[in-house]
Amino acid sequence: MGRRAVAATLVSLLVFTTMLGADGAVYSSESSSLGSAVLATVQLRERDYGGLLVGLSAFRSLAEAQSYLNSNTFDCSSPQAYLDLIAGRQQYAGASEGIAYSTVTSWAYSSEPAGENGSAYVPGFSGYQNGALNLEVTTSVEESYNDGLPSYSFQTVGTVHLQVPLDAIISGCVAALSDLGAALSSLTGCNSSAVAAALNLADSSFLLLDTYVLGASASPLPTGCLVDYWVATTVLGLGGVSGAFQWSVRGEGSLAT
Amino acid sequence: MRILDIGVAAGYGILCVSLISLLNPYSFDGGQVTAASDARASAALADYVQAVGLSFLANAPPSEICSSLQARSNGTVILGGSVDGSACGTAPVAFVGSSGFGFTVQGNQVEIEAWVEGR
Repeated sequence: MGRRAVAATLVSLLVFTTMLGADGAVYSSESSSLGSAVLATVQLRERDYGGLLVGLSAFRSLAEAQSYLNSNTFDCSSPQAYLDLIAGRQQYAGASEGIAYSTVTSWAYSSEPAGENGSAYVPGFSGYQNGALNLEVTTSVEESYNDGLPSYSFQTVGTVHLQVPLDAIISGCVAALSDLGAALSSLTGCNSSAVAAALNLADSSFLLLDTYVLGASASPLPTGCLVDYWVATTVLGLGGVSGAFQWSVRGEGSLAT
Repeated sequence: MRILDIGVAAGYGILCVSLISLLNPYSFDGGQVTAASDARASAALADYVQAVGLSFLANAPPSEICSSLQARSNGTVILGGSVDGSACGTAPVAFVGSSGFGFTVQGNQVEIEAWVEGR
């Protein structure tokens, strides 16, 4: 009877130990599986946020470029110097859902396609467009979860554009300047009335000049006359990320007669 | 001797059953569903911003943004958020996953949230 009781006790100890071991193994496996699932979710979220942050960088670059255009008159006589000044750089940092992020964005006018095709988060402004005002945007993104792992960092270069017919605006302005120069080249005298007459003639002779405000001044030289002249216009209803905007364009020239 | 034997066996049995109930592997199932649903909510949020564009979120009045959030919600994923503190939509009574992302565009503080409905 005593041996039986000991045997039964040993069997029950074995059974319970086996059950406990099996449960512990399943528990450990499930715990590890949950950890992997949470890690994967955070990685997916960091990837989604990464795309959003690149989109925000593209948007902010376009908004800054639009603001620059809106508040600075474009000199079509020397466009490159103006376009070079569109370049800029910004840094942003923040946190959302336990993910801390920081972005460094730099942008510059681009005359040819560069990198990837912009950002899907700025539809209508993404990618390179021939003849438009294109920007090359470089974005560096760093993300980390609760200041630790998983972390995610990458750099991307893409092209976006403002809906500004840059090439057409430059060629129109240069042609208008050329027309006005031609009209002023045969100035009858070196005084304001001769200049006014030449401006009227230019305005009526060249259809292109109808959309421009014209101006000129004459100053006598020892052997002739120096004429400074300019054309100016404002292009309305341009498409920007901050809404429609206008752009003042001006061209200047001078000639000696 | 027999009493001691029964006592040890019973005590060990109670300890094992307690540990087994404490280390319940089924308790992780909810966590995995939540993790998967959080990822789904995060993807839905990104899809929404891509679909409407950041320019829309920067320039549209809060009422239009709210309408677009409601229009892109469906039976399982509910979208909501706020623009400059003007709230749109609320979390469903029961949801298994959620995601949110806040950012500033054109001086507007925009917060987009997504919830995956379920119990």
